[in-house]
Amino acid sequence: MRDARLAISTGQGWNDRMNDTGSGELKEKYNRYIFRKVMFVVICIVGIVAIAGFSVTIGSRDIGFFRAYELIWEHIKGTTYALGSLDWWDDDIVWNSRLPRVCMAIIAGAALAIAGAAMQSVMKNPLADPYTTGISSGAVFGVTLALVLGFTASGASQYGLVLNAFIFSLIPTGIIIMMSKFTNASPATMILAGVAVSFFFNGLTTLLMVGTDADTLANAYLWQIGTLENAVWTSIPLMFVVTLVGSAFLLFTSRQLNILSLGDDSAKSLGMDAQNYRLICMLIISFMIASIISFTGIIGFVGLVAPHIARLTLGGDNRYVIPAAMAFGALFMLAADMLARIVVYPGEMPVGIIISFVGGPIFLYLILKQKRGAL
Amino acid sequence: MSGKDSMKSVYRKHVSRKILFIIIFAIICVIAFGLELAMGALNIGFFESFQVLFDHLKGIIPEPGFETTKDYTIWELRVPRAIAGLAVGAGLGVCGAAMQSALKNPLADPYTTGISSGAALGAALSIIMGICVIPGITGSVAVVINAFVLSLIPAGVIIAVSVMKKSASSTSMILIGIAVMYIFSAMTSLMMLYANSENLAEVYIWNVGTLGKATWDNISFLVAGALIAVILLIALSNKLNILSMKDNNIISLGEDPKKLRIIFLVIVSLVTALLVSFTGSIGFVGLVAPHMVRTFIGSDNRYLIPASAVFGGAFLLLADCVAKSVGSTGLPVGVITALVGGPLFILILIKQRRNAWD
Repeated sequence: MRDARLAISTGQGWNDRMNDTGSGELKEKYNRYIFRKVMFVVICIVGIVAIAGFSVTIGSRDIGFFRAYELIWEHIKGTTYALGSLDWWDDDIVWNSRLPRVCMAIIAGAALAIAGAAMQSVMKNPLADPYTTGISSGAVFGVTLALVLGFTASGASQYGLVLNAFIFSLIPTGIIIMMSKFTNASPATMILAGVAVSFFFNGLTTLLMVGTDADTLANAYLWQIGTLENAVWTSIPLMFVVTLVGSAFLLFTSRQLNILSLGDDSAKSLGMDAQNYRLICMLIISFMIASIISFTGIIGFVGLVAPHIARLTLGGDNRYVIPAAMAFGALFMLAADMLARIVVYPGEMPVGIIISFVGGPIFLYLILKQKRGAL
Repeated sequence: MSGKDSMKSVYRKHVSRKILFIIIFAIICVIAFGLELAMGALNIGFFESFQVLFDHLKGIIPEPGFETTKDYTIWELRVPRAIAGLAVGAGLGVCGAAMQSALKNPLADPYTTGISSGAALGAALSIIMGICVIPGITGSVAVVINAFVLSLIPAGVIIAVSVMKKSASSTSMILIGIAVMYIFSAMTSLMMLYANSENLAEVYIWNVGTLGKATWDNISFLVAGALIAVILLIALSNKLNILSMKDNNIISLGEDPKKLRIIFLVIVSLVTALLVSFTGSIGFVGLVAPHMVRTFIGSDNRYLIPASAVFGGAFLLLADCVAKSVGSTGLPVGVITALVGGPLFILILIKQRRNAWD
């Protein structure tokens, strides 16, 4: 800057020089700024890979850290072992019982976090999370209906609970979208509609719960806590595809999310249909979350906190918050699930409980440490 | 001159509409009170129940016989419940309205500071583990004490943190409440996980919230709490209006936004904790009553607070009338407020012409 001022005073070619030094400095600053954000995501991804390996080693059968990667790599290459041999057992346990769980943790964490980040931006409310539109209340009602009254949408198949949860969790969003045809789809209205719908479904659930016997009530209650215990390969493809498509959409439209945060009027003057975009986002988020919680139960906190943690460390630009939240959510969920299996070994604890125990204090700490204006 | 006069008359009309709303719902409160007295297993007419009540108040206790049963049912069973309904509804209504204005968030309700999670943890502690924060007390009193003490902890954390920090925005206050709430819920879930099904069911039902536990012994607490909330918040409604501005503007008016917010947080938390520890977390009233009122009379807290009180009282009493009359044993009132209030709320959202929040 001093150079520039000097140049002005001498009046010689100051224009050129000012541009050179100023933009160079700016560029460097900007690069550093971007570098930090990219580093955050990279660190999260490295963490995911490391913890995934460690997570696979936990269990009654002893399999080493590097051995775990080796087994996975060999399986991908298509190596087969003699039936019943030691390697065969190792492979079977890693591939069929431990790895699905790791995959599910990563997908669920990523999906919940990205959905939360998008929901908070779309609704312009730091309290919003993936369940703001009432998705969880619908799912819980569907499951309670199946457990208490034996009513399922698919007859008596083994997927009765899952299908019930999936179908009923889409109803609240459906109601809100229908409602927005009759009234304005401002964030406040939509949040309140979501609250109303969830209260309604919660009321129905309570109605069923208070009328049933204690054992069924306990069953229905435990479903709600959320666990990754029941992970199998067959449940992965649906949630993977839906999450992939949903996150791709949200990542590519993160600029629109930024525009949306300026307010609906500014968005309109920039040529964007804010209400329409909001509805599309809601629909995508609902499908993503429904496909996950129908397998895992209601896992709270990740969807609310992971985006905030990303925002608190990186600032509010959605182009970076969305991928960062996604990476952090996956890491967080994976680590929590690992802890869930370590702390009460050889038993385990639902991952939802661990997440709250660990995430709560971290979140508090970050709020205390926050720089102004990140939220 | 004439312009000034017409302005005045417009303003008067504007105000009289709001006052009319309050009066109408005060009348509905009285009607709901009568309905609550009349409803129940023993069939007593609407006017007859008022008759019995006034007779009792005048000291006319009927001769032993059928009339005594009526007198006993009304005075000992139904009047406490009706008063509790009115008190809890009004209390939660004003606390919700104050919370939404003070934190500038339409999602805020009396439980936003984590009160219900604290109360649930307290109930679970005493029902499942048999632990009371004050040693030596057991049974239902322990549940009440536990619920009250523990429900104040999250609010305590919020206030302590806000005092320590230089500035405390409404957002960070809410988020602190949520963090504590999640930790408490996790503890409750953990206990529920290892509890037997009977205890789990008991904790669950405690949480749903009911007015059925109201007796003459405990309603004095409820009434005192509700009265304090209504009076204090009406007295401070001007400050609430100031709080709805941006923090910078509040400072330029010579008020300290952080201090004001903390004052409201303390009032709301204490009163809500008191109400919740006797009734369980009755949801929806505290969130929805203020919103419904807002869509009719707008967000001026000088009218919003009293209107939320009468509306909340009437709403909870009417919901309890329905709750009492469903099935042989009745239902928790929390279920009815949600089932009836949910659709009603959506209808109002659709019908509203202007958005009271944007």
